[in-house]
Amino acid sequence: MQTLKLALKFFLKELRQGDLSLLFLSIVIAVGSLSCIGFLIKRIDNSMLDHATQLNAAQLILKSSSSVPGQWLAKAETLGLKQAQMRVFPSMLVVNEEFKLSQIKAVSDNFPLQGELLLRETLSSEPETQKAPPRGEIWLDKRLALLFKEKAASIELGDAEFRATGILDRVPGQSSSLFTIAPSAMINLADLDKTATIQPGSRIDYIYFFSASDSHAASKQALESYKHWLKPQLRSGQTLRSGVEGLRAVNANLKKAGDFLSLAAILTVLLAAIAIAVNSHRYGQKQYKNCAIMLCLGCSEKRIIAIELYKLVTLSIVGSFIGIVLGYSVYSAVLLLMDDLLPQSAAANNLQELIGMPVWVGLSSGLLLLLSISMANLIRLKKLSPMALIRKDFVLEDINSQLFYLMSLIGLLLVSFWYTANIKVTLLFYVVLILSSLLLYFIARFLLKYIIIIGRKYHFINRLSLLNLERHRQSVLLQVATFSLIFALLILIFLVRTELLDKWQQQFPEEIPNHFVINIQSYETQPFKDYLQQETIQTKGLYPMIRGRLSQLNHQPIKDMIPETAREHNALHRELNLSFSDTMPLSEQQQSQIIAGKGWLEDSSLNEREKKIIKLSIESDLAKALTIKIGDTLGFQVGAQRVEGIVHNIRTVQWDSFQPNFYIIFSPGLIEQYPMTWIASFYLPKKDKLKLNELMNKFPGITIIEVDEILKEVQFIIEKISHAIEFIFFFIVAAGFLVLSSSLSSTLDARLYENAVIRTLGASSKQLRRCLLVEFSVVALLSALIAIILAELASFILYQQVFNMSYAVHPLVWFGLAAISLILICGLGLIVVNKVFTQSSQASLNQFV
Amino acid sequence: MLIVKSLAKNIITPNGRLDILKNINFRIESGESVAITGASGSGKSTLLSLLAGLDTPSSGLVEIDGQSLINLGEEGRAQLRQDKIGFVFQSFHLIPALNALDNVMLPLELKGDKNARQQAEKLLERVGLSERHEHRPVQLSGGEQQRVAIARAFAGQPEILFADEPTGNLDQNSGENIIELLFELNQEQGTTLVLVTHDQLLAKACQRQFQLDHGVLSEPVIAESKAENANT
Repeated sequence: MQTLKLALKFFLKELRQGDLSLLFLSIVIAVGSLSCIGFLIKRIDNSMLDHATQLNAAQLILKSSSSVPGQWLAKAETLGLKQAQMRVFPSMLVVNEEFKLSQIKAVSDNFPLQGELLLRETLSSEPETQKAPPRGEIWLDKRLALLFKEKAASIELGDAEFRATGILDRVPGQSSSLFTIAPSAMINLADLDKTATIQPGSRIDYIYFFSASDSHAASKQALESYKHWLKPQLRSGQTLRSGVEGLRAVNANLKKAGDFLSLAAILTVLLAAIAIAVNSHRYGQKQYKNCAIMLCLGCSEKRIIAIELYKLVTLSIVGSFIGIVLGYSVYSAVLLLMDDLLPQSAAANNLQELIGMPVWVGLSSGLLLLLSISMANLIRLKKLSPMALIRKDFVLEDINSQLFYLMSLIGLLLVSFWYTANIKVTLLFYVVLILSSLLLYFIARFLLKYIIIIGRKYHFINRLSLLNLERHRQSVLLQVATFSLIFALLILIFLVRTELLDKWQQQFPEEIPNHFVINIQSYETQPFKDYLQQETIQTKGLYPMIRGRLSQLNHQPIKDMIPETAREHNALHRELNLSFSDTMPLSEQQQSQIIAGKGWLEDSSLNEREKKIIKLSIESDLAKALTIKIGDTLGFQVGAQRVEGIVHNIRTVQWDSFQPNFYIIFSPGLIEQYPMTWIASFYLPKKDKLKLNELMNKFPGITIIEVDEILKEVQFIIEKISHAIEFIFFFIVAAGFLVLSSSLSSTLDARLYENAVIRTLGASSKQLRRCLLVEFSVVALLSALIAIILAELASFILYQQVFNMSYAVHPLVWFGLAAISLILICGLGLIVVNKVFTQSSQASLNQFV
Repeated sequence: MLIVKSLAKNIITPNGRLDILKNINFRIESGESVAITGASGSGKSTLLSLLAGLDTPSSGLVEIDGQSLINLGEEGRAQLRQDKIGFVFQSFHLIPALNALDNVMLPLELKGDKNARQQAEKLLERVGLSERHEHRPVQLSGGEQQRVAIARAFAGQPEILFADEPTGNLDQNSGENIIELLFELNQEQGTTLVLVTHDQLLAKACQRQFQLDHGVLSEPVIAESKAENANT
C-alpha cells in the first residue's frame, strides 16, 4: 500500500514537473488515434452491414428448394428473431387474355424485415415505403406495368384474380433471387394457396428472412447462435447467408476496404508505438538515475521495480482513458462536420454498443503497448548500479537493445493483430517491415559513414556539424530509422489509399453494364447484336453458355477424389455455366488473368495432337477449393452426355466487374456441339428502361436481369467507404506528424546541453543554427531516401499479396517526400530546439549538473 | 560500529587483474568522524560503495553493528541502508521531480513513517530552509541543494552517514557552512561520519584520517578532537 502511495505521488509529481508529460502525451495520442480509428472502423462496419442487410431485406437469409421443417422456424421464434418469408416461382400472368411469363414473389405480411420496399401508385407518382401487398392485390414491376398498360383492373394468376394497385420501384432481397427470371410481380403469401399455381414438382424457391429483434448485443447473439444451430442441418439445395455474403461485388470491395482498414490500424498502432518507444526510452534514461538514488536511500530493487510498474500502469490507464475521450471527441466532431459523407448507420446511434469494443481495446492496447515497450526499462533496473552516483560520472549503460526491440515487437504484434483480426495482413506487414528495416539500417550506416568521409574531404559540411554527426552516429542512425519509418508508413498508406480509390473509380465507370440478358439462342445472336447497335446500346459482347454439372475428376466421381471438406462446395451441387472461347482470356473486358499455365493460343509448345485435345481454363478459387491442378481431367455432365477436358490453365476472375464471368471455359472443338444459349451485358440509362420491353417483344425467349439497383447500391457503398478512407488517412497523417515532432523533441536534452557548452565556448547563434540545419538536413535526406525504399518495397509486396493491384514505382512521391522531409525535419527541428537559443547557457548547463 | 577486515576488490581487465583495493583493515567506533583522503583513482569511491553495501567485495568482510554485509542478500542490504545508513553526494542527487520537502520525506516514506511530513519539515527548518519547502532542486542554489541532501540523509536517523565529497561542488563559503552543518548534526544525533574528501580543511575537522594510495589504506595522522577545532 505504501509502495502504491509512493508510486502515485511520483506519478503526479513527475507529470506536473514534465518528466512524464511527453510519455503521457504519447499514450494519449496513441490511444486517441487508435480509438478514433476504432470508432470509425466500427461505424463503417456497422453501416456497411446495414446497407447490405437493407439490400438483402434481412440479416440472415435461408434459401431452400423445398419447404423447411417447421421446427427450424419455431427455433427462430424461441430465440426471439424477426421472421419473414418469400416464395419465388415463375408463372403466367393473364390480362385480357394476354399472357406474360413473370417471376412471382409471394411475401409474408412483415416483408421486408429491413430495407425499404418502395411502391408507386402510378408511373409518375412519388414512391412510398410499403410492407407486403394486402390480400387480393398484386404489385407489378415497371416493365410489367407498362406491358399491362399501367393499371390493369384485374390480373389472373392461376385460379385467383388480383387487383393491380401499385408499381414496384425497389424491392429489397432482390439479390436472393437475382439470377432467375424477370419481370416480377408481388402478392401476399396468404393468397398463394388460392392461386393453386404451386403443384408438386413446381420449381419454387422458399426464402426465409431472419433479423435480430433490435440492435442490442443479446439479440445479435441470438441471431448468431441461430446461424450456428442451423448451419449443420442444411441439406443440398439449401443455402444460408448473412450480411454481404451473397453480394459478390459488394463483398470483394468490402474485403479490400477491410484490408485497407486493417493496414490503417496497423500503421496507427505502429506510429503510436514509435511515439511511446521514443518517449519511454527517454523517460527510462532519466528514471534510471532516480532509481539509483532510491536504492541508496534503502529502497530495495523489488520495491523500485514495483513503484515503476505501478507508475506505468497508472500512466497507461489515465492516459488511455483521456485518449479514448479525445478519440471519441474527434470522431464525434468528424461525424458532426462530415455526416453526409460518411455511411449512415442505425447502430451508430447506439453509443453504448459503439463504444464497447474500441474503449476496451483502447484501454488494453495502451497498457499492453506501454508495458511491453517499457519492459526493457524495468528489466534494466534489476542491474541498477548506484556506483555511478558516487563516481560522479553518471553514464548510462545503454538499454538492452535486443530485449527492448523484442519486447516491443511482441507487444506490437499482439496489439496489431487484436486491432485488425487479420493475421495475414499483420504478419506480412511485420515480416516485410523487419527484413527491410534491417537491410536499410545497414544502408543508412554505410551512407552516413561516407557522408562524413566525403564531407570531411571536400569541406561541404562544416566541421562542427561533422563532429556532431560523427560523435552521435548511433543516435543519428536511430533518428533516421525512426523518421524513415514514420515517413514510409505515411507514404504507404497514401499510396494504397490512392491506388484503391483510383481502382474503384476505374472499376465503376459511368457506363458500367447494368443489365444482363440470358437465354439468347444461337440463331438470335446476330439479330440481337444488330438490335443493340441500332439502338446505340453499348454491349461488352455475347458469350456462349452451356449448362453442365461437374461430375468427374481424372475419370473418377469427383466427390471420391477431393477432401471431405470440399464435397459440400456449391459448384458440385448445381449446374455450372460453361463457356468456350478460342482466345484466352475471353476478351479484354473479361478482366481475368491467367495465374498458372498458358492461354491455348499463345502456347506455342503445343504439338498438333495436343492442340486437338480439349483444354479447360478454371477459375482459381474453385480450383483451390476442389484441389484441381493443371493437367487434371474434368468430366461434365451436359444433358445426357459426358464432356471431358484437361485443365490447361488457372485464372483469377474479377467477380465484381459486373460482366459475364465463368468458372470453366473450354477450348473450342467439342463443347459447341451441345445446346447452348448466350449471355450478354449492356449499359442502359434509367430513362431508356422502356427499351427493355421492346427487346423482350423482339426476343420473347430471353431473360433480362436488371442489376442497376444493386449496382447503384454498390457504387453508393464504395463512395462512402472512399470518404471514410480519406478520413482515416487524414488521421494517420496527423498522428504521424505528432509522432515526428515528439521524437524530434526527444533529442532535445542532448542538444540543449551540447549547444550550451558550445555557446559557452563562444559560438554565435548563427553558427549554431547553421550547424543544426546541416545536421537536420543530413538526417532529413537520409530518412527520405530510406523511407522511399522501404515504402516502395512494402507497397510492392502489399499490392501483390493483399490488394491484388498492379505495382509501379512512384517517382513523384520520391521528390515530394524529399522536399517534405527537408522542410519538416529542418523546420520542426529548429522550432523544437529553439529553446537552445532562448535559454541561457547557464540555465541549460544547470539542468545537467 | 563499522569493522572492515581484509577487504579487497579487483576486476578483470583485458590486461589482466586490476587490484582496486588491497587488504583493507580498520574499525570505526560509533559516533566517530573519519575522513578518507586520496588522489583521484586511488579507490576512494569503491571503498565507500563497499562500506555502504552498494557493491560487493572480491574478498574480505564489512560489518555494521555486528552484521556482516557480505552475508546479507540484496534485500537485506537495502533494509540495512534504510535503517542505518545515510548518504550525502558531491552532486547532491536530489530527485528533480520532487520538491525540497518531498525529497526529505522520501526515506521516511520508504520506511512507512506516519509522521514523515512533520519530521521532514523539522529537518528542513534545522538546515535553514523552512521557507523553501515547495522549491524543486532546479530552483535551489548548490549550497541549498546540499542542505536538502543533508536533511534527507539525516531524516532516517542513520547510525552511519557516508558523505562523498560533500563540498566538492560548492564555493568556499557554502562549503564551510555545509561542513559546519554536517558536524553539528553528527554531534546532535551521535551519528558515525565517514567522509571521502579532497578537502584538507574538512579532513582535518574529522577525528581520524585515512589515506588511500593505489588501493592501500594507511592512517598517518591520529587527529585529536578535530571536530571541536572545525567548529571554532
